[in-house]
Amino acid sequence: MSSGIKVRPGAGADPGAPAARETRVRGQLAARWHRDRVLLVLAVPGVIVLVLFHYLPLLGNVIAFQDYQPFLGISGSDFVGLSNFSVIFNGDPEFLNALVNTLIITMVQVLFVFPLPIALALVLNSMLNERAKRLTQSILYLPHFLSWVIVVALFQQMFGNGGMLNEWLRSADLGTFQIIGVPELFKLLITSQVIWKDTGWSTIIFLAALSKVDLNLYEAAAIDRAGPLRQLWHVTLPAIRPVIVLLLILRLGDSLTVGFEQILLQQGPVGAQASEVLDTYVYNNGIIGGNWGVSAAVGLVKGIVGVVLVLGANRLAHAMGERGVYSK
Amino acid sequence: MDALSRRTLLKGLSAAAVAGAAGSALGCSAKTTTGTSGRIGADILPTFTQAGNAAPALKSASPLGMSGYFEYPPNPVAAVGKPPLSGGRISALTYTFDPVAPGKSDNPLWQEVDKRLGGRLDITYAPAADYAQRFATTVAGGDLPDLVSIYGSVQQLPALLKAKFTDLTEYLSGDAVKDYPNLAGLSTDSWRKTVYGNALWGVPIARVPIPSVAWIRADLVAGTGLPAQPRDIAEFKALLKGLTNERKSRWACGDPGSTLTMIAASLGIPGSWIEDGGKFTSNIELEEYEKALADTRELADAGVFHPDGLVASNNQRNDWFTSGTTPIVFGGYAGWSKYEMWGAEVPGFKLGSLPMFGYDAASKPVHPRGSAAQAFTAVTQAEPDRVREVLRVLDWLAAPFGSSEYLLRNFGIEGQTFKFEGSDPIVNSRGQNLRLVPFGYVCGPTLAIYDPGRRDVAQARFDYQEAALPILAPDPTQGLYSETDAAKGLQLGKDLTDARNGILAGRAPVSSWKAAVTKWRNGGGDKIRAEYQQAFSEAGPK
Amino acid sequence: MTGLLETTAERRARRNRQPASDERPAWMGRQPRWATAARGVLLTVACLAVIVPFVAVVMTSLAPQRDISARGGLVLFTSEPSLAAYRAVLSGGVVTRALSVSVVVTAVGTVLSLACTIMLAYALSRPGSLLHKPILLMTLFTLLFNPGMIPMYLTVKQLGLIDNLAALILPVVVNAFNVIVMRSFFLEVPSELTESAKLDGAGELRILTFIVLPLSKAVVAVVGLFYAVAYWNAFFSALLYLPSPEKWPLQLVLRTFVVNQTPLGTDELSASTESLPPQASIQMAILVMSVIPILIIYPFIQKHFSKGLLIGAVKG
Repeated sequence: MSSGIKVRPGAGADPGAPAARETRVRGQLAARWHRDRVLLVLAVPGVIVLVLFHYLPLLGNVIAFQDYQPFLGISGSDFVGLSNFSVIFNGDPEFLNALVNTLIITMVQVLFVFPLPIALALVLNSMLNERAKRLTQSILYLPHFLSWVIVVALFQQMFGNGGMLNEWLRSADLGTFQIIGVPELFKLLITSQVIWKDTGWSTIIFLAALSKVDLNLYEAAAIDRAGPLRQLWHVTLPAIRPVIVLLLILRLGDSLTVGFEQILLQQGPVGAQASEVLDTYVYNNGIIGGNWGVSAAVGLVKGIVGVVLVLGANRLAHAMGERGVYSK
Repeated sequence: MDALSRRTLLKGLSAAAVAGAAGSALGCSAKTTTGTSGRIGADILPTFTQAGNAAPALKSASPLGMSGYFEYPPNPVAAVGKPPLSGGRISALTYTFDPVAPGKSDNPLWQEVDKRLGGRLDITYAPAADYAQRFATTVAGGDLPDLVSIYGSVQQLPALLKAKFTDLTEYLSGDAVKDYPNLAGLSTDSWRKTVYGNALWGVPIARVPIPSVAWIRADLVAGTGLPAQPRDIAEFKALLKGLTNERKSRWACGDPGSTLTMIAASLGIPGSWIEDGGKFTSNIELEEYEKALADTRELADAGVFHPDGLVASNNQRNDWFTSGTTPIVFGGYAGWSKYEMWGAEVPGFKLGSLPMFGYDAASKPVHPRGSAAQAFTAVTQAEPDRVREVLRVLDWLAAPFGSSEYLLRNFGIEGQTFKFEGSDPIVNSRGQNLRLVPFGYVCGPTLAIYDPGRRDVAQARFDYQEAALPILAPDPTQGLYSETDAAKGLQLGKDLTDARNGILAGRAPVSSWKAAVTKWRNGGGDKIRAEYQQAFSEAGPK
Repeated sequence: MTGLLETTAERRARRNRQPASDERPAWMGRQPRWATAARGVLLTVACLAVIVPFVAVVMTSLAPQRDISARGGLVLFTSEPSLAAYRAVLSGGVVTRALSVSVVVTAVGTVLSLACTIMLAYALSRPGSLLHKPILLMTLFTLLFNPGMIPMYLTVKQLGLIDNLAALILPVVVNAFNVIVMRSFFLEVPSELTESAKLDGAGELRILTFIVLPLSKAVVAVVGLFYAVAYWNAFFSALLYLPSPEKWPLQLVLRTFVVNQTPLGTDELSASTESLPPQASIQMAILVMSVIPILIIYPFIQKHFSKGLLIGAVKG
């Protein structure tokens, strides 16, 4: 690709000619502008929206350092320094418990829940009957649209201690199947609920990636006598690897968020020890009383942690040869 | 602090109950009582005068109680003489528990209300569950409508009221309320909810302070030989145990928490705070509370509670009740007619209620006390003439049961939205929708017991009320404000509920309750206590 | 093939060449029986796990109080189905109006969102271009930091959007996640195509319109679906920014029907419950009504990310 000015490597290091270097750099800038101005124009609407409706209100996060009261406004509320952050940093054992729970649940979700839509997409993809494939996929995504309130109620009706399954078991004197209200099984309970609700919906993006795999590659692999497993390993998976890595990085960036409404609804019978996660802890210890400052403070901390995680995961992806979210 | 012994507790309670009742019956008089109900803000509360002139079939013995009517008073007349507005506009922000009503342009009922008001009443509202967010953003945004509902706990409420709203003391206190005869008909206890810093800040949405009722399926108890109206704790336990049959997937009750409250009430323990000589004690600190906890745990161990009781929603508990899975349910007093309605579909359904019993022969039970006001409506700062205009509109909205204004707001326009059967208005489906406009949450009269066509239900509701009101637990925090309570009360309450659930679910022993109480005290309970004591000593007669 | 774009004739020819849907392509080995059977069992179980609760939801929306009380909640089968719950919700015209608001907001919003997202994603799909990294990072960070509810409200208010339906669209018209996903797919477009187009003198806009977009139908369909669902389900922004209930979208209006999820339960005697169908069936009817429009349009979108569309597109 030709640009206006060619710069020899090291040429700019000549100490005796700073003016010349300036011209060259400015020339390079002008050349890039000339080349990329259409791209920048294309980016303008999106950037404006993000600045106006995201970054501008982000300035309001200054309330993280205030005892914010709506009727006083930002200018009228007291400045309290870091005391809103004490919810996180005061070493409260309940906070640590919540943090540990959160990390365990994230790990479980990344290890067991994240791969499932991929596997399901691959299974669907291997179906020959196009109509059956579409129909199956259309059924499996449905639970995504149920609210958590309904999903919890459904689970309880089916698997609750007084639910249909146990009613039948009891009348047949077969004991009971207890999953609701058992603290040790709580993480299993919510994980299975997440799997049921979102796996089908999450396959969509992988199916889209799979649909773009160049069929010539399969033909070439077949010519090389590769069976279905080797085709999977050498053609399919590498083709969707960028999407998988991308989504994994974004998911890791969100590690501290593991579900709020779902857990809040079911905390009652198992107690805080087993069920408290970061978001519910902050809710129960700050937001529930209308403490806007605390909620902003925690949002900031989560954001910073998320940035570190995303950048870290991205670098890891680079080390493995992947493009990741962004490359150098 | 030592837990009060039961003797001093009962002595204090009965004195307070008597004094409280005397205070509110006379409607005034701070100086004559030692009880707490008559103390707070008594010199500024509006003088109570019965509003309206519809003669009720059932007249309550307590000024807090609702009147009962078997039929709608015939030939309703206007309670308010001339229209309160003269062409102006009033805006209001409120909450609602109802579905969205058709907008004004499609709503002849609303248009007619505007006509009778002589101007325009524009109401914007949000679902009650989300009202806190709408309220916060509206206040933060700075453009307040003329009327704003204060609902739920709000941080720094006194400061907020002083900054943005009007002090209504001079307009409504004492005999000044005579300018607004319908507002004078709101119960004195409900006015106490609007008192902050010895001033009146709004008009209350008055309710009967009976929070919940223990319903029972009388049909499922009949013939079993179990005590359908238990008179002491032993009979109560026997009833619960007898109604349970796990193999058939039937449990006595689906709500361990409310059962605990009932047992605690049978011991004479009120809902939250007890005041004695200026000192406040929380109910959770009493040994009697631990006793009630132990009893409830014993019942839980005996398996009388539905195993999903702690995670169920109210909807589910009601469904269990109607289907017979749990013959006992704790529901809101206001929902009486609903249970009857749901039960009408179930063959044999007969609704009964469990009266408050005494723990043993020596106990004096109390009935848990709810709030006398669900919320209150504050008036945004404005010129005195404007404030008077707004208050006149509120007065119109508070036109009592039996008036033509009430008929319009709740039933609509004859021929269009309802028709008379005898003197009872029966609403058609169009009327069902049009009347969903939340007038009653901006301002409304004292409710009345009125179940057209169901004389027995009205009578049952009335009887329950009459039995419960005399033994209502006193609430010394009425009219007092604690900032820590507003900021941390919900959070502390959640921790206590968590500890309580742990005990009832069998995860922790009853003895762990003391640790939970200590945590509560250190987490803010002591601070709340100190704030209430401070406010109490400042508020009373000097 | 001279140009890179298929003509109609070529497309028709390609479709004729495509194997019938049940035939396996030449490169695929024969699928062993046990694998097909296992797959069938797995998918059948999964579908049942999803369908049975949904059948319960639909049945409950049609069930009378008697059956709901008897079952104590959800019913799987009712002998006297009735549309009473639907009629109750739709009467009064409020829900119908909210429905049309939702449809308009979703349609306009999705189109706007797709336009902005495609443009931004494409602009970011040229690593090395001017300001590439700053804009990309700026976009990425919006995923991690969320502004609070009150600052959002104040911003929207400052821009004069309160009580304006645009407040349901503009603040969320660009979603960083969708941008990043779409960018990732754009980056997959083989560079030979874009390079050769540049040599032919095509500018960025032409490349976007005639090369990248036609090859990215799958991701455009998927991102469009994501946006559409988000607009359709939105209720919180309406709660904050739209004081007039006449402008409320469907989800917020439907939310007001479900009274008893609040802790108050039956504590408040609401005016409307005197003769309404049971709460459970109303709740389920609401759910069914929210899902049906998506069910209807989904097949149209789904065909864009099925296999088979790209056969022959790149072959010379």
